[in-house]
Amino acid sequence: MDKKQLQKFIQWLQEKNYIVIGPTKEDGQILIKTISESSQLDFSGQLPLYSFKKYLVPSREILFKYKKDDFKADLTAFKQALIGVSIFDLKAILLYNQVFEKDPYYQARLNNTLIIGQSQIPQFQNLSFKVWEDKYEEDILEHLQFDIFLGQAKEKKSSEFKIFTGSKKGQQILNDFAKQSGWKSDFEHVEYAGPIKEEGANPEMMKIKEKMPGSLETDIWQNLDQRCIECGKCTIVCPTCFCFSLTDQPCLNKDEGMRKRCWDSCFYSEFSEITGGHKFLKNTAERIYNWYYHKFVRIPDEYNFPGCVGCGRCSMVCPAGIKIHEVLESIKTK
Amino acid sequence: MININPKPTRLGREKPTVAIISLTACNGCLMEIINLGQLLKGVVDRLQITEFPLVRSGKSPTKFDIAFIEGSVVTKENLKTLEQLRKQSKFLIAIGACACIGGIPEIKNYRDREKLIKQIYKSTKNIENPLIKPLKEYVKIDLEIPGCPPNKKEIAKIIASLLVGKIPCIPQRPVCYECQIREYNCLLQKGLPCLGSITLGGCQAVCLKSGEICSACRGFLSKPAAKNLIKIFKKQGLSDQDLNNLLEKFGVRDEFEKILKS
Repeated sequence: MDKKQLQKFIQWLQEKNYIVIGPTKEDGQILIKTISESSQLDFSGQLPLYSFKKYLVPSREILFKYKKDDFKADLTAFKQALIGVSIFDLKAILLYNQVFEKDPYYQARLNNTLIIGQSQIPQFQNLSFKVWEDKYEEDILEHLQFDIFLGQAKEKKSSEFKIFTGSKKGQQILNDFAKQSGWKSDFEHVEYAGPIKEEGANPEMMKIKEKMPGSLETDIWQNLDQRCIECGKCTIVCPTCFCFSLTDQPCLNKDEGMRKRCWDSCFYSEFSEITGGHKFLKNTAERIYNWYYHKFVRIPDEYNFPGCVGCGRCSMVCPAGIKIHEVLESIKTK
Repeated sequence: MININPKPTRLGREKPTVAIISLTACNGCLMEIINLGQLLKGVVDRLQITEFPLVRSGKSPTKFDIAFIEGSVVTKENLKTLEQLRKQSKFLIAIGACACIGGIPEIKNYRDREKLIKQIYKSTKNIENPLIKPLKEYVKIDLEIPGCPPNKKEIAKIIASLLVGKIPCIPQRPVCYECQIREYNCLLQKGLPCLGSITLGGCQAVCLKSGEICSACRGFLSKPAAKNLIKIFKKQGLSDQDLNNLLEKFGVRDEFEKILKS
């Protein structure tokens, strides 16, 4: 598929009532926004600071409204096509799919979402184009959940995308598009083989996981305790931070109100507070340790893959200059 | 089946009586109530506002279920009003930065206020010139709605909660939470002395939206990591004088110093 056809495809999606959302460059920053045409898309491979998280797990949503005894849960979701989802963000979607497996709000949104991944081929594995042709699919794409994927060879950046599908929905959409637009239907299907590679769990992850428990007393956390300002910015940009809080909010109209769900952060003092005022996480060291423990021990224990996609966004936004790779290095070598 | 029928408010009758009063202030907080827009209809429908001198003259000496009070105690008269209102009210709410944390008038606490007063008034004979303190230093305050000005939506939410007999609380999240969710530029990372990370959020990061640093008009979080923020400021070369000026703007320098000592 070339750029012209991609433009046609985006137009066609819009005609099918999809809101098309993708990375676009604004004032030198890559932001993920609703776009109207393909020329706005930025496929330079530069990582957008904010991930696609908010389109699947919104920063705030109303779970239900009540009026006297009458509850109304709003499960309608608009049709959206997320285009240009990086490998990092696709890995985060794997986690949401597990965590929110039984969440009707997430599922409603996911059902109405078309996920179109995109990546420059050598970006993640330093494979040459030729090697990519044999290995790309099985090493990476097979272990991600998407509908369509646009593979972009660095050498051919300007012209061609190699198209993969990862779901029946993706195949259906492309077949329909081919039928209606005259595009010579040319794509390869990749069957999802689960989140974990055939060789088993990531050895790097296992190593960190082994070293983590019981390390609260070590210098690592005491050092971070003296640096972290608990702004929580890392948790907001982190594509895998999904923790939320629930609030019941009455309205000014008599007998009416709503329950809301919004993002929360384990760096905030009330996050671990329970009735009676007890806090499970009492200080900065405990909070930051908990953040790492969740990503590198608890999530691997539950799902067998890391709770960190390795995008480095947390390091980019940290005003205190805390770098996740340095922290992980000191955990491994402790 | 969970019964979610709101209980009749514990604060009194179905339509609570309300007073909205100013001490020495710019009236900006009360203007926010008047400017509630569509929400104002709901407020007026559900509350019996019996005393609101800013919009209606005449006093109706009575008891109040809820009283809102803005401003600072600058005169003996102010103190009398505050103490009387405390006696008259079941639930007393301090509204705005002046009432909650001292606010802009508190700047003079950090200066030679005898000298200042002479610069401002021709005759200082009858001018009282006390230290400025948050209202909770004078009487028991049941709830604080901070901000300069306070956030309209927050005011409406708090009133709605009180009406179902729920004591409202403002989540202990910093301004950074709202700033980052809205994808505004981080000014602290740009080297500016932004106080957002230690300041109680709920303002929707309006200052950051306009590219202004947070000056803590809503006061600090209950246990902020101020010691670590200072390290960043120092690294960025912020002088003690500039930091003090910033903290004095809304009168939080004393609180900040207390936190650093704790």
